[in-house]
Amino acid sequence: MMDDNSPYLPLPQPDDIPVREKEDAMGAYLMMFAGVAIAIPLPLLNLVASFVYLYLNRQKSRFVHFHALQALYSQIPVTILNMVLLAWLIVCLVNDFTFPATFKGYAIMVALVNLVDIVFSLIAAAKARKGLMYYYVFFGRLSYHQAFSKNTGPEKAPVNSPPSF
Amino acid sequence: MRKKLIIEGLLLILIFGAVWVVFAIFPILPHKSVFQISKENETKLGDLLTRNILRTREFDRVNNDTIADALDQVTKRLLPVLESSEYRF
Amino acid sequence: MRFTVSLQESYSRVELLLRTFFGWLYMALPHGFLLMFVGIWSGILTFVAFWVVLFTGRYPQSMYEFQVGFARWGLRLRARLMNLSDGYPAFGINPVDENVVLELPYPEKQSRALLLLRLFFGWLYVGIPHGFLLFFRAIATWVIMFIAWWIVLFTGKYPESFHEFVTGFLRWSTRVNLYLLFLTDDYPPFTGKETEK
Repeated sequence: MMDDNSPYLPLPQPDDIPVREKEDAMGAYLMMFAGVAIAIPLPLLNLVASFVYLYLNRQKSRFVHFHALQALYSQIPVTILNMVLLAWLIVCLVNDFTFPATFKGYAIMVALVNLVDIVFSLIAAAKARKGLMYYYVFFGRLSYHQAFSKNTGPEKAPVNSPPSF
Repeated sequence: MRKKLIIEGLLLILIFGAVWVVFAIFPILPHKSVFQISKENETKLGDLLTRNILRTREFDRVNNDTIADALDQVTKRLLPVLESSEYRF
Repeated sequence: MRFTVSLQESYSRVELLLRTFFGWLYMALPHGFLLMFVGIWSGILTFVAFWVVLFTGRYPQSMYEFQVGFARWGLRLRARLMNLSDGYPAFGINPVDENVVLELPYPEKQSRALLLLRLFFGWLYVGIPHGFLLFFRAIATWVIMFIAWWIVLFTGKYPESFHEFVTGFLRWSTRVNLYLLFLTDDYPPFTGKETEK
């Protein structure tokens, strides 16, 4: 149970979350298939789709915001790895189809990263649909901090003031 | 919280970095030398050539698509790696 | 589904001429440009929604409302370009247009069997029969639109039966599209008439 001194807002429970919000939260993880959806499997498209989804859904609720953030943050390193692989592949193809061992190792690692991403995204989508908070390693903590922190910044001095009479 | 974040981030990088290193050192698909041809394939090709010669009694020319394709493949693999011949006059 | 385009008491001849000669520039181009990007997002949502319906039997409501809003936007534009309504169509997913109304109630449950049937055989039992008839309906619509153009130009009034015929074409094609895009489980009727009261 959260105490009043906690820097974070209390978490909503599954029964308190409307079905619509659960569906919106689930949708965030499915944006990783955007490239496949429009038949242009460019790594960057999935990231853009995740970002657009976050932008459109960030005001809905903290639960949706959390899942959209987690989906986006986890997509960033995957996208970077995929783009590096693509660029490296092109370089290898241009150099008479020579694939060094480091490239092969990298390709296998990226394939595993993508597989892990897909599996955990689907699990997270299913959990979100049930109204559950599901935390990825690293990204879960980051997203939770951003979505549920209380906005307790220092009080700002007023800038506007009435006219002098 | 920040400490746990950093630890988890480093853990992820380490795990996948290790995967990369392992698969770079121990490749799943070892590079085959172009000079390697399995004994079975060599025997098969030899048998095919022998049967063709005995059947057609032609020693100058091989009129068989399968043999032609097989020899084409071998030629394609060997030609890029064979150095040009040096003739000493 | 309910789709109506209000028949105005009088139509502006200036707007008619403006739309005919410059409609491509000030209406079709800006809307078309934006619709292209929104259409890409709609395509992504359709793909995602397909899998969600397949596994849960329910179209996510936010995505559904977006798709209907997108369809409304396209219909608002088409109604103006086809001279069924005056005025400039509003941009966006959410605007309310009093002249062009599309109502599609949200389905709480959707049939997964029908979903798969539409995916694999939609081209056969929907695309071919409706496409065939709509092709001829489209030709007739273009002829009616051409005649109506002259009538509006000289009288400022759009004949009601002509208006209903052209609206019916839009209604029929919209029903087919909505069915093929998994937004409704109701098989589209072979008519452009309003079937829901």
